[in-house]
Amino acid sequence: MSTTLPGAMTTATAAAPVRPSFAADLAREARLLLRERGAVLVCAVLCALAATSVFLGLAEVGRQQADIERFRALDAEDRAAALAATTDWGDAAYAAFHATWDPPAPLAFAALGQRDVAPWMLRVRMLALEGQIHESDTGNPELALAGRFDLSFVAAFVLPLALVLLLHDLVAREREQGRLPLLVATAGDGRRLWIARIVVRVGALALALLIPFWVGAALAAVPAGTTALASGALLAAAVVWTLLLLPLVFRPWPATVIATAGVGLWVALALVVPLAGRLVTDALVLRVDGADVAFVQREAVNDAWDLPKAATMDAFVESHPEWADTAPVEQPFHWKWYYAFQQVGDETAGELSRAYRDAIAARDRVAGRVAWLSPTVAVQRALQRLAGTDVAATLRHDARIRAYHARLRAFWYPMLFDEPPFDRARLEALPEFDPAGG
Amino acid sequence: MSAATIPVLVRGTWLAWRRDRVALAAFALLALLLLATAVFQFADARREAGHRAEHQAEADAAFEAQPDRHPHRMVHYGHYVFRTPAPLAVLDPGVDPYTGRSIFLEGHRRNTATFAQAREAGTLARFGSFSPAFVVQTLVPLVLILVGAGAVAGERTRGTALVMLAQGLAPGSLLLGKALALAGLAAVAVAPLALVGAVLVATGQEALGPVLLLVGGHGLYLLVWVGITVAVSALARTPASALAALLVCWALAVVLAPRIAAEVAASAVEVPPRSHQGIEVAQALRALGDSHDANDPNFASFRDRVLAQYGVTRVEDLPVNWRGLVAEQGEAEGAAVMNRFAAERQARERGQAAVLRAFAWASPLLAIRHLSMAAAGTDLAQHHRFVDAAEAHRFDLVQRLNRLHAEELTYADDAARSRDADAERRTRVSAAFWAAMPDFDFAVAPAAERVRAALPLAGVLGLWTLLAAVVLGAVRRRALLA
Repeated sequence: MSTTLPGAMTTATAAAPVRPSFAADLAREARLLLRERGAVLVCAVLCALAATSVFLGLAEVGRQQADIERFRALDAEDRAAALAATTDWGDAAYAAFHATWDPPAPLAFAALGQRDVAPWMLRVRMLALEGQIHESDTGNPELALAGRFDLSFVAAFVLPLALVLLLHDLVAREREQGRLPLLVATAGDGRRLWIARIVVRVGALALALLIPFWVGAALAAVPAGTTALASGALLAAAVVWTLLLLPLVFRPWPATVIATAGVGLWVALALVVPLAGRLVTDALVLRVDGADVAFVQREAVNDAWDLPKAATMDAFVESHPEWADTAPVEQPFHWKWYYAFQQVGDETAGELSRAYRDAIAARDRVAGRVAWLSPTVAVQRALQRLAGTDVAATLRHDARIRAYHARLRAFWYPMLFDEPPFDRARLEALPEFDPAGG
Repeated sequence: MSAATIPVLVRGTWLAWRRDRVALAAFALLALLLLATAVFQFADARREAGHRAEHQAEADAAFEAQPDRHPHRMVHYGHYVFRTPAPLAVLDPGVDPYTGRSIFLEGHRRNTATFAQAREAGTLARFGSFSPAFVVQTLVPLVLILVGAGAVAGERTRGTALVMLAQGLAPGSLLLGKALALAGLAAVAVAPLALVGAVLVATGQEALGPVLLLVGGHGLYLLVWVGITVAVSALARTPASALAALLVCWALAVVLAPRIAAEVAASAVEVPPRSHQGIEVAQALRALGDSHDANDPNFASFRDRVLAQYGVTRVEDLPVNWRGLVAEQGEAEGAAVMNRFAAERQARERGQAAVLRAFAWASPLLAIRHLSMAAAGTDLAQHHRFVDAAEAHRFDLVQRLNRLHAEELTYADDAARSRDADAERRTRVSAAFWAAMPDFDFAVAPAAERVRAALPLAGVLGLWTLLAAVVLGAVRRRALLA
């Protein structure tokens, strides 16, 4: 077993028993691992799955970027055509739709997160925003049901299973083949032998995940700091699962019992804890029904048609004092009144809408606490957070759309209230959505 | 003698499992999960159905409570419809959480469904929705594997297989006995599905056919896993290697296959983003003209036709309100354009779904998943059915209002209503008309239709079961080799 020279051994035995260095232990365990067909296969399969997930993730992100490019081009073309047919400010504001989009961050390929259920391309116009912003049919629901095959999925669900396969018979096999006493005796320090063996095995699996990730990160030009943090999250997932599995591995049980217990642990932490978390969330967080938001907004906008014009204009001026001096609306229809009641409709539903978003954020915070109990949830959330594909990112995008809508209103109100002569050239200055700030 | 020994073998295996800590833990886990999901899903489905019914009633009441007004105001006031969940969604909610729950119906637009549960649920529960069907499809095979991996390999390593052989037991009988013992466990897992199904049938909420297919399909699916488990156990050298091989099979078929199938489907059939299509629809609609403008040149040929039909030369002389006719015609033309785009999109989504279903040949999980959703009426086809029904209802509602616009108002009043308050008052029609509008009546697809959709997948599952049986027969020689 020893790699030291016999001569060196005799001179050293006088002081202390000499054992190979830890590095040598690792090298020996790595050689042993390479000779084990099953273990190599598990590592190779995990690596292949991680590489596939990276490839698919990069392809998906590329597709999303191309979709956004095309969306913006179509949008500009369509707006130009729509505005060309208009003859007054109010009509132009009604006809012009504006693209908003949430570009995928470089790391999005590793964790597509909420991007398959929360829309990231939406056209908005000057009408009440609450009637526009809640689109949710983003794609084929049968694909969303299956879920994405991204790296966060491999790290969250497949990696722990691979660890169970690679670690479950670590000790049991030696015991079942009667080698355990001999092994511990020749190794001198039993603990060091196992540490080397575990480090090599877990390290091999971690590398099977990390190497494809690093290639993908390089291709996607992910900043080095983000890559390091994401690598840390992946490594942490491997280490946490290992620490959870080790107490089972060292039990004096047959290998099948250890594997069963390991898979049971996986079921509990990867599937049952998130389910329980959802139950707790439902109990803790008051659900705000999104349908109510749209309903309240619709009623407010609709009622305005039957209310005295002054009622709408007074409510509008209260939140927009800069237009306090505007002339009262006398005729049955005026564009400034029309857009004022759209805005008043949004303001009426504003509190409910905020509560709806707050409830989503609150549910997300509960999920964040559940992550402490489930490494599966934790690694997914960590990667989604780094990749800007988590729930918080969808809410930030929502806020950017709202900020942009406010800029649109600020652009149109002077035309609608001051009623300068219609001048198409001034439409050149229409604000464009900024994915960084709204 | 072997036929008589099989029941003894089955009972013996069950007794052995009862003494086995692993098996007991697995049973306990299974029972706990089935119970938890059944309770959770039942409560969730009840609450969700209640919410939607409440909202639908609220929306209907709000619509009917509108005062006398111009019919076109009601076209823009619009209506909300909510999808009633299918009765069998209690067992398998399918795509329901991933699709919007309600649609706002209004004039000139075919809106999409909004407020999907998945968007509100966040990062928890993205590994499928936790339903009884999910447990039976995903976790019960795992339990069968954990319990059954050693079924034959264990007898062999303990040497008991040799004893049985010496006593004249045929190798096929040993495998059959083990498979039957494991199938007993599978039956326990399917029992809750059968129970809920029976309640739904007994209370008249659901027809027998879909329930039989759903429950029977899950039974067949588990039989496939029983066959695979016993066959691998017979082939493996040790219980440990049987377990490792079976876990890999399970991970491939249950954890990986659905997502790989989804990626293949997404690449094989491209569905253009909804936002791109939205712009194309807007462009096509603009080409049709503005039906709010009675003088829009795009309606000139329609005007000539109508004038000729009534034998007059001016729209003012028509016995009906020309503005209402234009609104009606514009809506019809617009709906035809929107429906064309929607149909094209649905065809592509169905194409993706067909790719997913083709993976039923690669993994029995995809066979049962889609069989179950098709039978329950919670699959993509059902979602399309809902949005199409909502569109049909929208079109009917808007055209009824446009008919009122054409028949209950005079052209002169309608044209003057923005300037003349008296004319405006005369353009308001009675609120009694709102209450007379038909309600949205949507239910899950007829049982026969769902059975037809699910049957091919049941055939695939049947073939999987057959394959498992054939493999089991083929490996029986290996069963007793030490």
